[in-house]
Amino acid sequence: MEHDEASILRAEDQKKIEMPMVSEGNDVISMPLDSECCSVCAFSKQENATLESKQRWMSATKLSGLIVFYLMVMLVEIIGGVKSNSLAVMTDAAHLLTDVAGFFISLITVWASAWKATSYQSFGFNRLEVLGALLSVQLIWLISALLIYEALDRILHKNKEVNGLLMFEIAAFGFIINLVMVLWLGHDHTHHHACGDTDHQQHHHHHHHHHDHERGKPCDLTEEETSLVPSSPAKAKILNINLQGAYLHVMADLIQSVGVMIAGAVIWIKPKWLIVDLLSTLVFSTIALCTTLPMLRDIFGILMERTPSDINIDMLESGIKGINGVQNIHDLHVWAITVGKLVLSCHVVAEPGVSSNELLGKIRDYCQKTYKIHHITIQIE
Amino acid sequence: MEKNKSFKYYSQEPDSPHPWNTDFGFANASDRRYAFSRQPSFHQPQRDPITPMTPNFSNDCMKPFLSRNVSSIDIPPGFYSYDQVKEGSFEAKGSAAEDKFSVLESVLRVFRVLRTGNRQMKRLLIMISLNVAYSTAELVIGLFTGRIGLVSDAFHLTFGCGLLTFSLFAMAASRRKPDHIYTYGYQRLEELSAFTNALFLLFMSFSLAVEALHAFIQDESEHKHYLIVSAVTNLLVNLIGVWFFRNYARIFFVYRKPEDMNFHSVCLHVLADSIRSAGLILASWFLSLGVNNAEVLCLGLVSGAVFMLVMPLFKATGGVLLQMAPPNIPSSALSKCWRQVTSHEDVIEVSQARFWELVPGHVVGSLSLQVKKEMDDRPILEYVHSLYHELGIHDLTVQSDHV
Repeated sequence: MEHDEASILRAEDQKKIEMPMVSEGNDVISMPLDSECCSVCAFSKQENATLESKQRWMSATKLSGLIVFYLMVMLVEIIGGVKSNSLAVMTDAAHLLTDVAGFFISLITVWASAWKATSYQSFGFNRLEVLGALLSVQLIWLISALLIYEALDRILHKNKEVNGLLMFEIAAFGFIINLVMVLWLGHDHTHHHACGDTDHQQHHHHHHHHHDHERGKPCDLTEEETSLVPSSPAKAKILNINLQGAYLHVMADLIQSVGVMIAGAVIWIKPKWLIVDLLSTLVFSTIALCTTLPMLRDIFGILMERTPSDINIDMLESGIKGINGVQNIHDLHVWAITVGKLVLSCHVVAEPGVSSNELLGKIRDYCQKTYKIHHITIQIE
Repeated sequence: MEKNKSFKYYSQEPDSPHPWNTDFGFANASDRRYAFSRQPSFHQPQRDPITPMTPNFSNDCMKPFLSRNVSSIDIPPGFYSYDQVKEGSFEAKGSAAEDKFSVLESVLRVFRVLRTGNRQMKRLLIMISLNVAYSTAELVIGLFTGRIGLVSDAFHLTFGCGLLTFSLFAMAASRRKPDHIYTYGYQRLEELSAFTNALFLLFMSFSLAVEALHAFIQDESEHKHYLIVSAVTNLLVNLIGVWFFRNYARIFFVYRKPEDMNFHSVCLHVLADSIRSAGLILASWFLSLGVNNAEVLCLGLVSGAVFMLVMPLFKATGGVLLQMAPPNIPSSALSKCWRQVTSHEDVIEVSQARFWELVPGHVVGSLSLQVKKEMDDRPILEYVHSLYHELGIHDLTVQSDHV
């Protein structure tokens, strides 16, 4: 890739300038990672930094838009609920409040991922997104549990008259709003199209699989994520985990609104079948929870330092072994800091007489081009 | 993937019990520094940095006895030897199929391990079964008699049980050997379960605060009275749990072994539950005494207490999961090592020194060196490895760029 090589040259120039500055004694290991450079390191690539900040800005705007919108809807519902003295509307408003809390958490993590790495957080703050997404998903679970509990409550206090029409109306309102949000959020997924590329077939398969695996819903957004620019699928992925959490919130809301609509319609027609409320809450809550499962699996994998699922570690190992000059490889670890940022470390036994710099460069190129792993540490023995 | 031990300098198998040469785990900072300066081998490099040092395993074996202090657990150090829970760990299956396959298998494996498990796991199992029995009884009674308070309590207990089951599962499953997909092994499961426990406790404290607010606004004080029986039973069950895990009943805990966090979180969980029950009982008693805002006060107190209890655990677990620098190793030690490496005659510069804790007690690091051209790597590598090995960092990957 031409622009990769151009940036290698630029990075080496940078390195020569940085060295005298760095070798003054310093007490703590406070190397800001973007000024340190060893050949090609994605932490320090200038173009990657601006790409990332652009994505961050985009996801931040989307999340803030969501928050503002939901706050407005919440205000409307609170006013309406106080005026009509309806408990259902107030609980819906409380529900929206937890959604806003989830978005807010995502927004904070997007902001935090821009912070520079410190000596205590040597990998930067990108992992925070994963924890924030975990928190968001926990909130969704909490809301579902609360809804089930409320449904049980309504069943137990049987003397309540349930107004089916009101239920239906509120649910329909919520449904429309959530649908609008889904379409708005979902619209962004199609932006990162690049023209189809023929010589990345091998990992096109990986990325398509990963992308589908990562989305929480059966896709009608099955656009191909092949790319001419190698960082573009990474771009789409980095965008995803923050927005994915928000997306899941909205999806869960949507599904539950559908459930309440159905229950409201049934109760409106046949006012005696109150059990339908509980049943539909249970069913639709489980459906909503199931949509969060793929994301939970991803988060779990990242937090467990597991090999990312779109990388076949056997192929990687045999690929590295196949490079000229590599005799053997052991202690290979590949893991993700967050979705899209992969780190590799390994020990390579080199054949005697091979220049280690050259070998390093070759292995590094291989990992970057084929697997999009940018943070690589290789010990040559 | 062969585990080629050709350059496993100072290495043990990745799954053997870690040598407890981390004397830095003292709760007292001055002890920590003192312990560090007592390391005899620390002065060696100044003599002759080029001679490779021989691994001194005998030294390592002695360490566990030296590293005891009052906060250590009374479980013998060799106890957590890794079982022969061997699955076909090196089959290269497709990841999706392996996931489905491994869920069922892991459940079966967990049962097997539970039967042969250690003391703590059995205790946890007893506690979980007690809790499950109790919460189903409460749920059934609540549904039949129509008391919503019992049902909500039962829900809360069920959540707690689910979490404790996850902790148990983590204890059992984390003994598996590392395989292709989980190259670092499964020990992080314990941290995850500790984190989820801490999260749950935080949620609980928030919900108690909300409940206190609710009671303050609405002033409905009757519905606590008939919860006395359930609160007392709950308290008893949880106190049994605290007794089981009494070694971990501290707020500020120093984590030395991977399972420390898990056990600590379980202990805090039952402790918080018992505090909550005690608070409810206290509130009822005060109400019967006629104190008006007793409920608000007690709930608020309980919520505050649980929050304070959980925060250190939450921060520590979060730090491990966020890959922060290992708290056991003081940064002065790391920078000392840094300076020593830099002062080596062949090394121009050290960059990208990143250390993170996989689980408490197992630190992984990676380092990048700029070395003078045409120098032989091996002595430098051995030197660097030995330096960091004294700090307890065994998994180190050192990349040397020749300039």
